[in-house]
Amino acid sequence: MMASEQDILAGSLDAHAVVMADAAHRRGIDYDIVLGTSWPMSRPKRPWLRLSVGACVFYYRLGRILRAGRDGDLGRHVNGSAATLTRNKQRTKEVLVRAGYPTPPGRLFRIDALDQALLYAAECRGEICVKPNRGGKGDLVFPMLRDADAIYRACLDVAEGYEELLVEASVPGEVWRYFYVHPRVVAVKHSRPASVVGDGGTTVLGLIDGKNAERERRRVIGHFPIPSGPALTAMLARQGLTLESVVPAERLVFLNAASNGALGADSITCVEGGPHPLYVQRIEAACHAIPNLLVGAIDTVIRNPEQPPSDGNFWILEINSSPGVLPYHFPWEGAAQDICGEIIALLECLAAA
Amino acid sequence: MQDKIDSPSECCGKKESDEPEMPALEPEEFLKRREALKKMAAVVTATPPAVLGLLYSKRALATSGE
Repeated sequence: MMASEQDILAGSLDAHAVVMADAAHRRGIDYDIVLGTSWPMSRPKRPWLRLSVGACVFYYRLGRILRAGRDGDLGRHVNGSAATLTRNKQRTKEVLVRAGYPTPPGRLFRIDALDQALLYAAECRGEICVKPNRGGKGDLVFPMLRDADAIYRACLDVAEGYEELLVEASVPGEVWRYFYVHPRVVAVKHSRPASVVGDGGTTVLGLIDGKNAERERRRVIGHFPIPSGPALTAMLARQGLTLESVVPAERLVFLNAASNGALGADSITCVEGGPHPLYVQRIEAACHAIPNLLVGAIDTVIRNPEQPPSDGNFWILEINSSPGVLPYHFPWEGAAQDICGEIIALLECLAAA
Repeated sequence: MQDKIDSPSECCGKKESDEPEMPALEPEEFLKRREALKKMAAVVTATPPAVLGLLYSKRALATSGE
């Protein structure tokens, strides 16, 4: 039997869109799959989930939600001007700081001013994070940089891929991501960098093998094996360890500075017992300070999550207007959180407005 | 508030006890790093981008777009 175009398209839908389609189905929302191109129009056509919500049409792919344009084709991001703003990390930080929300201090440099970036880094007294101003998905983000060679290499790496780089303080604490669906935070998760827990008898290498075997066995979507390489070696060294070290029982050993799934991080959802509840209020207020922001993931670092928000205890790193949903629906630890159901409910509200 | 973002003196991690352990830079370590970065900056200033192995020269001249 020859496969229909819809069957072929369905097979190529990204995993985020598959989960969104399931949420739409559960709420009785009609959907189909279409090939479309978003700006810039030179991009090749890709499969998009098309959601027919009341009289409105929305498109979804890889975390991006678009409204239908006048011709019914792919139109503007549902966040409008907020999507444009949040693609620029530095501008987003400036808006947040003006509104009274803490962000890591730092400065933006064009890559033809790489020497200025290095001079700025030279005057920073603590650990440094270097990242592209318009990057996504953790691409070329280098936190916890300590020595000059690492800072220099990170600047060069970013300069090879992007037009602007940020040099900022690498703030200490845990990375928590708040998922916002207007007008409230609907889910919270901890992004724990790649890590293993000691048992008092196994080397770090053995613990990593064990964790990777568990990854293979459980096959939790969005969770990848712990990568080897210089980042692993450096992270162990800063903890006074090597791959051959035997780690005491219950000691948590971090294996990467970044908290991205592709680098072996764990997503830990938090229905109860997460950071102090006042953070939710603070994050919601910050989102309300970004005009037109309807859907977003707010990445924060919290030094002591049990303590309420205060100066020096938490920072907003960035806001992602097109956040992935998989870590919430398929966490490594914790209960699944129905982010897509919340987004569909928002789209219903927009359609009814 | 903009001054706070731009001030290098604010660009400092201060806590030592977070996991993973992040000991603050000792004064000597900071001074050594500062001198090394200043030398690297001087090299970058004096070196054409192509020699640095960077491909950014054309992009750097382009206007950033949304």
